[in-house]
Amino acid sequence: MAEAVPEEELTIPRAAMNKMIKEIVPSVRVANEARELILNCCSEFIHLLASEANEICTQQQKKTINAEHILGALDRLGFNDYRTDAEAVLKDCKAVAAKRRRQSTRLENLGIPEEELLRQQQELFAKAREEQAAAEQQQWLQLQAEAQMSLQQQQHGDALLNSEDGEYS
Amino acid sequence: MSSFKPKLGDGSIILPQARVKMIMKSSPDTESISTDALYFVTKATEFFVEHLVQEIYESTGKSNELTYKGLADIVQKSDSMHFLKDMVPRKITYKEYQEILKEKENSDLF
Repeated sequence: MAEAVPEEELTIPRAAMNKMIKEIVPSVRVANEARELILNCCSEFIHLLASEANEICTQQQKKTINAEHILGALDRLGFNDYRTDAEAVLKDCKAVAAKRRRQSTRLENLGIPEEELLRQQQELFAKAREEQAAAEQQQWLQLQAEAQMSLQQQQHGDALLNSEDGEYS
Repeated sequence: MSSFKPKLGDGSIILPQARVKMIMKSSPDTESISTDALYFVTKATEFFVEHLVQEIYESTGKSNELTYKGLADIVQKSDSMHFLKDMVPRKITYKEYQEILKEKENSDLF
């Protein structure tokens, strides 16, 4: 699609809208006309919120619209309920994210200082290298022994053949 | 505004934030938006949809159909939804239209 979507038609994707409506009123049929309209109302709401927040932002002589501007805009537009709920949800979000960060750094809570951990790691590596070297050595010796044996068999076989030849000649 | 308890208040987001950002940027003079701000706008929009749908549902006697008429009625009635009234004009019957025309004619005469 090379053309840009004209501003008036910029809306939330229908699929997302349908999913939302399904979650809110699962057993209700929604006329297509109504869906279309709700989509447009959404865009209108976003524009309203954006311009109100923009105004607050400019008044504070800031360049970037931040969360405070949005929350203030919600208040000014009479959507105070949304503000409280959204703040509560954000707090939950942040709490979950912080918990995840704490869990991923649980290693620090083992009580073993980093130097000790490093030392242990080096030990394990050294041990692994030794075992590897020993195994390789073992393999090498085995191969040599087998090679030796097969060489001997071959020589023995050759000797037999030669002696057989000898009988005929 | 009647007390509004969102069902969709569990922190997850259904609406795509990228699209919301595009819509915001098509508003004049909107420059940059912080991540938190975008999150709040998206979440607020979800609440808005939920609120709208719930109100229509309640006002039409919990009927099993959401129609244009239901939406138009709510927009006229609810204070906070009033910004939508130009988008959702109430549909009138032809008879009502004729009556309005007649009234206008009468007032014009004076």
